[in-house]
Amino acid sequence: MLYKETERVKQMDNKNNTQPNAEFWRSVSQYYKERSDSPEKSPEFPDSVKEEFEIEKLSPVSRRKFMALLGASSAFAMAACTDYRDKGEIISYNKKPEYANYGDAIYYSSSLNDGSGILIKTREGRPLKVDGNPDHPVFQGKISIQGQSSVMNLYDPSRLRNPMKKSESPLILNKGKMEKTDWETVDTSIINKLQKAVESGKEISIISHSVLSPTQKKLFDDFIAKYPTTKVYKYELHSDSYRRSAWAKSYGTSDYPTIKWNKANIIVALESDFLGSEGITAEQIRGFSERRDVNKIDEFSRLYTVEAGMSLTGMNSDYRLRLSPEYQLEFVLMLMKEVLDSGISVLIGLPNLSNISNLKQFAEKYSIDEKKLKYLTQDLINNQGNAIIYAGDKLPVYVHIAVNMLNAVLSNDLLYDYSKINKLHAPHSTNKELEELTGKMNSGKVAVVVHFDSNPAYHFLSNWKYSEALTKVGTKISLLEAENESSLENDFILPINHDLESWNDFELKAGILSLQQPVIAPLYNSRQKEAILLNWMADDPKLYKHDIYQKYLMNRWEAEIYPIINPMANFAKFWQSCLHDGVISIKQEAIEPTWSFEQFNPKLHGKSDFTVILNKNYSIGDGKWANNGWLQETPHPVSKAAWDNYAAIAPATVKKLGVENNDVIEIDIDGRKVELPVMEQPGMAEDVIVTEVGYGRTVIGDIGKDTGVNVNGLFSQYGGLSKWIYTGAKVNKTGKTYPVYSTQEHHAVDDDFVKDFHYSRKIIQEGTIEQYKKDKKFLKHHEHSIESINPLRKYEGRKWAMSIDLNKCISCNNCVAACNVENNVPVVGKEQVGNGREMQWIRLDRYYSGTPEDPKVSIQPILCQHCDLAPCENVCPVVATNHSEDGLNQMVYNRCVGTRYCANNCPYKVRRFNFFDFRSYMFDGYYEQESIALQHNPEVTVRSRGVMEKCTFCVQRLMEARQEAIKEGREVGGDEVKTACQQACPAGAITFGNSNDAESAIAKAIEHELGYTVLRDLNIRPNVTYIAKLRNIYSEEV
Amino acid sequence: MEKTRENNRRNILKAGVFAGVLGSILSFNPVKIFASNAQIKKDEKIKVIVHPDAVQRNRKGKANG
Repeated sequence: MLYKETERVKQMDNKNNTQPNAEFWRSVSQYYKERSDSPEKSPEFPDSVKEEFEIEKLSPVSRRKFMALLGASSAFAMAACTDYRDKGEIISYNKKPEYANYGDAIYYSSSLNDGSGILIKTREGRPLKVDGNPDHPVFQGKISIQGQSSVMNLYDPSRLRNPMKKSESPLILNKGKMEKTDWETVDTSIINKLQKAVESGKEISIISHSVLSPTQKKLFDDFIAKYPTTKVYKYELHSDSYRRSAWAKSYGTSDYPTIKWNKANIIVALESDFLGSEGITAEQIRGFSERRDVNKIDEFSRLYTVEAGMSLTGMNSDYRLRLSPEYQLEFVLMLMKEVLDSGISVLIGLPNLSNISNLKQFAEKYSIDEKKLKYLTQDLINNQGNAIIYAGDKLPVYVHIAVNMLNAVLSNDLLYDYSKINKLHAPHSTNKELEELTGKMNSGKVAVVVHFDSNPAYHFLSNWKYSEALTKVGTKISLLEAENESSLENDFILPINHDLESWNDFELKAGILSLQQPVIAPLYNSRQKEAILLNWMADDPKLYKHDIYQKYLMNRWEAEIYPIINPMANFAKFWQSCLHDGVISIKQEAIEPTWSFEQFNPKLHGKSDFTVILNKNYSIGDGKWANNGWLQETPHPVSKAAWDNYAAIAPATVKKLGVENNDVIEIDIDGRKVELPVMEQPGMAEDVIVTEVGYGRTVIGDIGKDTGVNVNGLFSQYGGLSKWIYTGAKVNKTGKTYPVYSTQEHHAVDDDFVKDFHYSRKIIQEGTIEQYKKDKKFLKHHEHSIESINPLRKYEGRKWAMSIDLNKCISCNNCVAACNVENNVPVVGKEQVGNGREMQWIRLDRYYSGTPEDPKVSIQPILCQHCDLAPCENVCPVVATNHSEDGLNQMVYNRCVGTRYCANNCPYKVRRFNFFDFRSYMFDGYYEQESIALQHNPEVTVRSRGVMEKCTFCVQRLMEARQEAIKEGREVGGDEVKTACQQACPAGAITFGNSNDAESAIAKAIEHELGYTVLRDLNIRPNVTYIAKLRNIYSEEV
Repeated sequence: MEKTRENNRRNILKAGVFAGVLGSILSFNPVKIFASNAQIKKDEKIKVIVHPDAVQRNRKGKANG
């Protein structure tokens, strides 16, 4: 109530004469207020009622008009609400299958289309979480981040729902439009066109990715038999084709063996990212990390990397040498010369090494630390038969041959595992074949083109002008999950099943077959791509049945696999058993090929201008995963950038070019031009630009559309050192800028204020093997006991805790991906990442130390530390964050009012605030659509706007284990529960469990001499222990 | 009084027509006010059906990996 000054003065005057109104008063104004029963100030009866009724004094709005307005607004409201989604009827789950209990998860074994063996968790029929199949001998329970995030693609709202065909309507407005149709019409029409193509002798071109399935290969063969003018083209944007080609030349077979990474004392990776983006990373990381066990300190392997860019593998190396890829051949030959000079006898023919520089000359020539080179050669000589030199997929064939030769000279071929041969069922088409295809399309020799879940318009070389050639083909058909660049202007666009809705088999390694089975019936009116082809081969396509390919697959297995295994059970039981396990091994005799290469005299390369390296993106691959928001938002393991690609350039080259971060440069390779923003990348070789493909998609769902830059235009079949490395590039400044958002600062190395602060604050603690051997407690000497005036709470029962081994963690992001899926973490988009509002509950901090030219990299996953004396809990005004009796720092979402005090008071900065309801805020509610609702894990609350969230140590899994234990009348085991990040970690870096159980792995990890907690001196007693990293370097380097 | 009644009737009619037209426009939803609903037609509602031939894997007690 407004209180007029004059009245107050008047009352002050009265005060002297009157008594206070009441004995108790809440405020001074109340004290001085006149009594409420004063008729003048607090009238009980308003004037209008007391006075005579005067029509002029009433509101001009009549009662009828008011009613009319009210009625109209009700009508508006009702009209506006007519389109609300029907939520459906709620019925009880009274007809459930006997094996299903409401609320219990059901698991299935299966495979993804890349051949990964997976285990799928479903709830009430919905696939929710994809992990590795623990029984698969290759994957052993781990998969890639794409596999982890693949469930989002199943529910992607941009998936096609019905077959579409080009409109035949005579109306101008409808001309060329795609209209919904039915499968029968599609099949009849296409079969007619296929038959006409055969009759006219014109080609039917099927364009596919790699054939990893033996049954799919059989299908293609059968299709060719039915339609003899068919030709199947296979391609990948990034592949191991050079490695295969080198093996074919070296050993007479293109199928190469797996490396026994866990047996290698010394690993030399040449421009190879075997821990990040090449090969089956889950298997390679596992083998590598096995030899990084602090409990087997004498078995630590040593990793050398020789590379131009800074790769994930390079980040994890003990010694890293910067070398432009043109000089890799010379490097290998120099090593060979040094090795031979040491007196090793050789049985195979060697190239002429007389013109090759020796170690000292090479080090001087390319400004490489001579000492490191000496260590490397000495290690190779001392570890013959126990070391491996591994060339990257992008290096040209002759470097691979030289590496094979060097491994043979050093007897390192003992580390080839011939029981696990990397198999390819059909070779990729060569660039020449693909170029000829576009030529045939242009000249009208191709009648039908079928895009078999592929995107040649985006992936093929730009100078082939595939999209233009496509317009000259009579019938264009795309078999896709969602529309892409190649489905533009097609005659038919046919929706295909997702991996989790399909049947198939895969054989990545010879003799190890994994099965794919559908765990959900197709969500939409789609068909499996193989079934579509099969139906086009049928006598009567109208008799299509959904199990057509399932039967085809079973028939092949019954005819070809079952007799080899020859089990006691009949085929039906054998088939059930195979589906249950998801994988079967057929014993095959390991045949070790012999060195067959006779002459090898390659020419050395020089360098001119800039060298451009085109890498596959760690998250979105070749662009296939670009519409997956989780993958787009996963920070790059090295630069921590999200949602964009960029030109990574060495700091010295950035200075030379006179550019800064986010300045746009034009890269020109023989007239092929691309504009990219600059990202200064410490540790890179000078005059080298590294960028990544997969971005700049134009025909895709709303998430992936126009993110980053399409750099596929830089590919060419001419002039490159290899398909992915080009020399002689020119760089021009454009004067433009483009923001690339990184979740970690770009300049931490150069900044005096933060230089090495992770060491000085003991956030990162590390040492060397030598230091540890001399003094096991060398990291503990600085520690002093911390006292507290408050008595500490005792945890009598369970106390959950985690340990992360920094020797094993390689920053692969699998934990981030698994956490996203398990905990319904929302996607926030590029703009919000720029504002620092990414929502991932676990982040991988990356620290540089040393110089920008030759930095050391330290990685540390940071999640909620569940501190015993959590500083976030003290400041929450509504007790929304508090402590459980088993040591969890928990969040009560319903109680949280969003003050963000907790996030401000958290020293680890692990709390995430929902500044928006990101599901409705992002891309016009893209992630709020019906299909996405099916993706959410029902065991975890979907948080709304204004609520704080953070890691819960997967409390839902703890509760599930507790319920099981209660049912069985026992205690929860110390190592029984696995968190999502722990389950996904291919390196086995994460340990979780009950720290009060002395026998548990976590209790032992906490007590380890190398164990430390971050910011220990704050005395907030975190429950995440880090095992300090030990670098396997020579003692004089320390 | 007659005039007032006539005016009111007109107002109600006007409001009713306006409401009807606006209601029709909103139902047609040309500006995708309810974007998420607009993308899924009622005859295309997603149905979750467990595939009859899939073989489940019993992992009782091992649910956490």
